[in-house]
Order: sequence, then C-alpha cells, then structure tokens
Amino acid sequence: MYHSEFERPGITGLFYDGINSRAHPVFVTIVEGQCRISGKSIDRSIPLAEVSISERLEGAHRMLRFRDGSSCELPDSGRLSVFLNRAGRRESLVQRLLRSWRWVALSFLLLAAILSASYRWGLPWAAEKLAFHLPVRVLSLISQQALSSLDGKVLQPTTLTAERQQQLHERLEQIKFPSRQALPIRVKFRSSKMFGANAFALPDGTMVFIDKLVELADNDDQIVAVYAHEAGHVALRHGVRQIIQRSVVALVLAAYFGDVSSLGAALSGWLLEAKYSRSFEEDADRFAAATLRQNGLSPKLLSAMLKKLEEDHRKSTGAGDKNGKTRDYLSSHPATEERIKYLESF
Amino acid sequence: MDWYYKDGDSKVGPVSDEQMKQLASQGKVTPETKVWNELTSKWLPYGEIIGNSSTNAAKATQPEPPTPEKTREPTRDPYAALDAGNTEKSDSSDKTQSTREREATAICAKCGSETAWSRTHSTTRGLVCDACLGNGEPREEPAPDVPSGSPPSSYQFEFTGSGSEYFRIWIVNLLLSIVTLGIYSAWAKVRKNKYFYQNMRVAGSSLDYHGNPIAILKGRIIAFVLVIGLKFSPSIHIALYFIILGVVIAVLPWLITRSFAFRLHNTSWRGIRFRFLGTTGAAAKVLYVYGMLIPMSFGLCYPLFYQRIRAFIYNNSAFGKTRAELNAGAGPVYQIFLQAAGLAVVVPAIGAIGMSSFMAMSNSSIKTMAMIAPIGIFIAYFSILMMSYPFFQARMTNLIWNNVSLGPARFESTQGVCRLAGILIGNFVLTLITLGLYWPWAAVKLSRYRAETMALLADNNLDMFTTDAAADVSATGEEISDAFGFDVSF
Repeated sequence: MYHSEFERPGITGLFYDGINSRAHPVFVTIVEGQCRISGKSIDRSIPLAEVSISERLEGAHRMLRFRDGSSCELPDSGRLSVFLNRAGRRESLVQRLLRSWRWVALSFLLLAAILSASYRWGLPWAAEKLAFHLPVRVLSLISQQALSSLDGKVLQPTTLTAERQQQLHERLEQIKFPSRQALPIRVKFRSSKMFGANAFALPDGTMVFIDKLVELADNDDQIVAVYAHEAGHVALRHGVRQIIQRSVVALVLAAYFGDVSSLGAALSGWLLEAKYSRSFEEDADRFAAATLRQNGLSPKLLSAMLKKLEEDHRKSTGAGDKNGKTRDYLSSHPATEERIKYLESF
Repeated sequence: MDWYYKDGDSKVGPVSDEQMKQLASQGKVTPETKVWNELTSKWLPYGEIIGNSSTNAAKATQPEPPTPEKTREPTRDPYAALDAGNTEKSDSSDKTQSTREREATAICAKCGSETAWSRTHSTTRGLVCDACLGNGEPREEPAPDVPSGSPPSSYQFEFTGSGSEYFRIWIVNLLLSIVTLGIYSAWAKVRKNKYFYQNMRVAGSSLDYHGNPIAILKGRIIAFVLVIGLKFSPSIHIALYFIILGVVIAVLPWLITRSFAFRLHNTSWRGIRFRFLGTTGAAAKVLYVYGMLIPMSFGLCYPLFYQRIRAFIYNNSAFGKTRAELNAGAGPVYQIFLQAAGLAVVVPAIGAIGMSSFMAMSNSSIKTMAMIAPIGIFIAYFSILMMSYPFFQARMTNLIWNNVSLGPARFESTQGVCRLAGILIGNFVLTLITLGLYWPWAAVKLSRYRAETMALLADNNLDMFTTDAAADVSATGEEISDAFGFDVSF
C-alpha cells in the first residue's frame, strides 16, 4: 500500500532490446545507483552511471539508452526527474537554463545586446584590424581580378586625349596626403556606357576615373576633390573592410533568417549594410577635407562636385535610364545632402 | 513519512501523510506548493511528486484504492495497461520472486478484479475486464501496445512539441552559438534535432536522434572552409574558384550519400536505427546523368531528375534490416510539377494583364509604371508563396509518402493544399513582422501539421523489424550538404 504515486517504486515504460522493434512493457526503478528494468521476460540491473538519459522536455518521452544498444522509453518525465534527483544525478547547466523563463529572457537580452554591439562596434573594429593585416599581395590580387573582370565588359578604353590624361596625372601626383605612409595610388581613365559620371578605388590603390566625370567637372580642382575622397577609401582600406563586413553580416543573417525566407535575409542585409557604407563615405569625406586643406584647397570643392553629380544623376534618371542596373556614383554614396552640409561647414 | 511544505516563505512541518492529504483536499497545499520529504531530497512542487498531472493532484492523494490504476490519467492508456501488467510483481518488495513464467495480468479499472491480459479492453478509463465492458464503458480506439482482440491498422503520427518550449531552446542555442563564435552550433543542432525527433511519436513510441556533436562540428568546419573558398576565391583568382567548384562537384555524390547515411543512422525508433544503403557510385549516376539532362532539355527533365533523386533516397533507406521502397513513377511527378508551374505562371499573368489594362485605361506614364513594377514582382512572389509552393509541397509529400513501403508497413499522407498554404503564409508573415522571433512557433506548427496528416499503416504488428549492424557514419556529408543548401530532407 502506497500513499502517493511517488512512493510507488517504479515508472512504467517500454523496453526495446535494440535487435527487434518489439516494445516490452516494463517497470523501471532507480535504487542505490542501479537502474532496474523488470517486465514479463526481462529483469536486469544496470549501473545508473552507465545509462545515458535524454533531457527532460515538456511533452516528450524520456529515453534511457544502455551500452548494449538496448533502450527504454518512459512517458512520465516528471517522475523520472524525481527519481534521478534522488539518485543525485544533476541536470546540465544548459538544461536548467532552458527550464527558467527568467534565464531565457536574460539570454534574449544578452543576445540582443551582443548582436547590436558587435554590429555597431565589434564587426567594424575587427574588419579594420583584419584589413590592415592583410598582405599587400592579397589586396593586389583582389584588385587585379576585379579590374580585369570589368575591363572590356563594362569599361572601355578612355576617350580622353593622351595630353589631357598626362595633364591630370601630373596634377594629381602633386597632391600630398595627411596619412603617414605613402599611398600607392595609380590613376586610370576609362569610358563606360553603364556607369554614369563615376570614380572608384580598388583596395590596392588602383583608381579608375570614368571619362564622364572628368568632363562634368568645372575645373581640375574638383577632380582633385574626388581624387582625395577616393584616396580616403584606399588609405582606410574601405574596400576590404566592406567585403569582410558584408560577408559576416550575410553569414549571420543566413543563419538567423535563412530558414524562413531568403527575401527577409536579403532585405535586412541591405538595410544593415547601408549604415556601414554611409560611415565609410563620411570617413572618406573627412579624409578628403583634410587632404584638400593640406594642399591649400577648400573642402567645398568636394561638396560642389557632389552637387553636380546629384544633378547629373537626376537628369539621367529623369530621361528614363534604360539600364536598371546602372551603378552610378550616388547610389553607393547615400545621404548626399548631409555630406554637402558637413563639407560646407569648413 | 514526514512532510514539510512551504507556506509563502516559511517552512511548515513536519506533517504526516494523512495531514498532507487533508491539506491538499482543503486547497492549502496546491500542486504548485513546494514540498519536501525524506525521499525527494530537495524542494519540489507537490504536483510533480504525486504524479505528472498537476490537475489530478488532489485526486491522486485520496486514500489508496485497491487498484492504483484508477487514478492514472486516461490519456496514458497504453502505459496504464503496461503498468497494470506488472503492478503486482514490481510492487512487491520481494523482487527475487520471479514471475516470468506466469501470464501477465491486469487489474480492471472498473471492478478491481484481476484479469488476464488477453481478456482486458482498453477504454478511456483504463483497462477493463470482459464483464465490465458491457456496462456502458465508452470503448476507446485500441491502443497499439495493448494486446487486445484485433490489432489496429492505422497509427497516427503525433507531435508533442510546443512553440514556447522550442523558443527557449532556440534562443539559448543562438546565444551560445554566437558567444562561442559558432562552435556551439554543432551542439545546438543536436539539441534541436533531439527536440523535434523525440517529440515525434507514432504507435506510442518516439523517434530518437543520436548525432554526435563533435562529428557535426568537424563537418561544419570543412563546410565552412569550402563555402569561404567558393565565396572569396573569385575575387582572388578565377582559376582558383573553378578548382574549388570542381572539387565540390566531384565530391557532391559522396557528400550526399554520407549526409543521408549520417542522418538516418542517427535516427531510431523503438531502439532500431534507420540506415542508408546508397552508394556514392549510384548517387553519381543519378546526379551527373540525370543532372546533365536538365540543361540539355531546357529544364524539361527536371521533374525526372527530381523523381530519380527521390527514388534513390527512399529505395536506399532502411529501418533495421527492412528496406524502404518508393513506387511512384515519373508520370505523377510530372503532373504535379506541371500543375504547380501552371499556378506559378497563370496567376501572376492574370494579375499582369489586369494591371496593364488598368494602366492603359488610366493613361499612366512610364514613371508610374516603373513604380508599379516592383509591386508586381512582389505580387508574383507572394502568389508563388501562397499557391504554387504549398500546392507543390502538399501534393508531392502525399504522392511520395503514399507510395513508400517499408516491408509490410505503409504510410498515409493527407496534407491539404489550403491548410498547408494557411500555415506557411501565417508563419511567413508573423516571422517577418516579429523580425524572426516567431520562427520557433512556426517550426513547431509545421511539424505538428506534418504529424497530423501522417499515419503509419501496418496490418500486422510492428514487432517484426530487426536491426542490422552498421558502422558509425561521419557527419561531414550532412554538414557540407547543409551548407550548400542542397535539399536533403527525408
């Protein structure tokens, strides 16, 4: 005669011998470090230490696995826990963590804090450190690969006269940079039907000016302003940093969102990366402003150039740009107004 | 036995068994009250000690009736039966007295008399004997493990997981994976798989997962290296990219077979492991030969490829020694593909015609057209999400599972297109609005629906499956296949 369910010595369950799929109804008792299975034609004792026991879940049966391949399935998870507690078998830390909503809420907050902190500071910091440790050889490999994949397809030989090119090269070479190290900048001119007025720098210091930008500029000083801005990207290794940051963001998003929807991952990736590229542009503007002043020029040159580019961009889209994929200077350089304001504050 | 219980913050006791029962019946001690006795060794909720179901707490502490089975929950019926069959033996403290030779008996939940196993019937109140069955006891579906008159033929799958419980697992998995820079993710995967397998039950027994996190971690590292290689090699040198791509394509058949072998080998039901017997050579034949046909036929051979892959998977799967077989040919697969493609094309086309005629009437400029175009793309995307994809999923799942046999056992899948669409759309929308936080509930909901619409059909008993020894299988294949997004769902 037992006074409560608990005092009854056994837990009912099913025993499987691991050879046959037959389910044997058994009683499981845990006494003095021994797990005893008794049923119609089964009676065996196994040291509890040799039994691997599945974790406690709300609705699931518990599995006891024995070394010889046999196992036991117990529906009454709560009672098994009581027996195991009494036998001194503790749940793992993670299991106890999972049981308590307070801990789960804390982990959630911690997760949010870690994620936003690493997005805000951690990843940019790590990418910067990594970018400056990359061997120059890797940078030049990346850049040559990128340029050779553009040349002939998107970029065509320049239409500028050799004289004009020479003139610009001479002007740009005279520019001194505020950075301690000399920047290995090599300027190249190209024409392009796909790009509008544009200029871009590759991680190894190769800088490409599209003819339209040269034609758009009122004077060479404005071209110097663009040159200073792009040199900022090179000096601060923005290209590689962007590759690293974009990859990590994509990886994390794929892990988090990927199961649900690739659209969600792509949208949020785009939103998250926009912030990074904005901060790179601001940094490059700051570098450009310092460079321009060091060379006795006004930072307002760059803002004037930005205004012109924006105007040009509006004109070309207003006229119904057929090329939906046009990547012009402005789409990768957001918040132009704020930047103009910043540059004009000098 | 002396009991102590907590009243607010203060400890009360010792009280006797009798007093405890009185307190419980007066409601002073509830199932949530923390209690202690010499057997618990720690403070536990009263409900947990006296039984799993807290609602039955008061009932269970009533003076013990001659048959303990009376107080058991009716929903635990198969186990109540097992319990009954062993009660008299296991309850006796004299464990040396073997009862192996005797026929098992059960105690009738109605009249309390001892009855032979074969003469009992499972009802909603527990096992009852022949005599009591006539007395208006509602007869229950015969439970699978009770040896009653005629064995049942259909066993419904059941999923017992809950969204809130999986949310906790998911969020802790995510946190630990991030804190350990991804290393914990192998353990997280095991925990997640265990959750979904152990909560999936058929014929009274659950599936179980045995994957080893270290094996998964090794696979993940190799997969990570290959993915990074594929992602960054084009920007370093294009030849390097093609070398890595070639290696990946060359090892793909091996990866796929390893991945299935790992997954199935680590899945068990009733102590018997599943197995995968497909060879790398056979996988290579299916992937390369039928894979080559796809571009050559402008995609028309894709359904054939799909069917061959499925046949390769199912025909090489085994439960113990019993091999599975897929009897669905390419014909019905083509039919489903065509219908799904029809839904994917026709509905957006009607939308596009409607939209363009609207614009023609309102004389819209090119500018508004350009503004509407992205909306049109979204509509097309959602119509595929809402109609074509659920249609394909439901019909294909039904087609395949209704044609899979496992020895004498068969399956029945009855997924409905509209129900599945409802679940998928609800999951998608709620997951997006909650920035992904709804995901655990979504996963549980889908699993539950899959279980609800799946049944195991077996005319004779389920005891005939036997095991076959198989070597341990490495996780690399599954992990790499996962990383490349190849569909390896069984």
